[in-house]
Amino acid sequence: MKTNDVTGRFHKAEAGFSIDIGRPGVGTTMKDVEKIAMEVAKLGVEFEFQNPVTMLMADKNSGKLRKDVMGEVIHSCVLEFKTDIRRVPLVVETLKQVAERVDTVFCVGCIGRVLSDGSIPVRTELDKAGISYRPNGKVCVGLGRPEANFGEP
Amino acid sequence: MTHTLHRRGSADSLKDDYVVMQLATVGINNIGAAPKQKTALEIMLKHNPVNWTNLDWGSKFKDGYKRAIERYDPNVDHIDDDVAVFRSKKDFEACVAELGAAGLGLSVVVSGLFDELFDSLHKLGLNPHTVQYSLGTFGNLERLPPENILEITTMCGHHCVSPALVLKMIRDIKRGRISTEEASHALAKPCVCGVFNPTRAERLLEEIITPEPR
Repeated sequence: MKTNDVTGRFHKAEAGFSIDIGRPGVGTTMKDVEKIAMEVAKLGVEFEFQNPVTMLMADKNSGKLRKDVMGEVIHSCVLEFKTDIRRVPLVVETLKQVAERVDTVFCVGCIGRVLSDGSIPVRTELDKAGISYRPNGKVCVGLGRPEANFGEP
Repeated sequence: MTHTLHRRGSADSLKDDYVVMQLATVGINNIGAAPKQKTALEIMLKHNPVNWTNLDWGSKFKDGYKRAIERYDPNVDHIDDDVAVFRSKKDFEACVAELGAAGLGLSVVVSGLFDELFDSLHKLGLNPHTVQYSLGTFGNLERLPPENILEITTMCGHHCVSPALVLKMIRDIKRGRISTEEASHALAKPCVCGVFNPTRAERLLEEIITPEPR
């Protein structure tokens, strides 16, 4: 999201997710990473192709990881994907369910565009679904050039 | 990398915590970005940051400016992020205003309390482009250290500041071996991204070691 002003990765009808697995400070097995990836993959999410975890996937549709990395224990990693903004509540519910089956922790970030009228559709979706979020977070200011062409009105 | 997103603490506790980051994007605007990154770092340093880094050159607590800037090479096409942490809204706004006025054309990302950030950006005539919310921590939460320790350690989003180091610092302060300021600087060192706020850490350490009134 940091460079969305120039990459145009997240459109206004999309929500991005960052799942910091193993953070804060617990670490994780790749088995737990795969469990989470495979659960969200069932929802048809689009994994970020430049993300290192995506690069370790044997199958980007199912979220299955390569066999040779499955025995690894790591400090942390970030799973990144995007989906239709209307699926935000479903993704969060899925993450809550898989959270019961992993022996680590993960921090969830949710990304969305700010529209020209100042509204934030992803926040509207979170509020509608009663999903709480912290009062602090990150904002891309929009100073990057050349500006991304979102092909939106 | 979501290294400034999941900072913990109440809104009141986060009022002196603003992070500004400037970065180039490979394949889009990284060619010739090195001098712009240097300019951005110099702008950040003018506004009293309590921590800063350029991820390629060095950071405040590991290297200092002189050593960091020796690594500057204007011909390198991919220079990593500039980051600065501010404890006051005034310094934060002055830095963002100057970065905007400089027209460097690189992406700028700010972290802090949303209400404060939006207020500042609107005041400066800037329109927020994309936001990221923290939905919190999921999973086996029993494995986490206590909340007052997490408030300190999550200021390094990669969690390179160990809870064990925080506990050691608390012991050393109580034994009179080290001041809270020295402890906060020691805690800032492992955070190579330079996003750890030592001023807030000092306040949080004071709160931990001060006995609650009966």
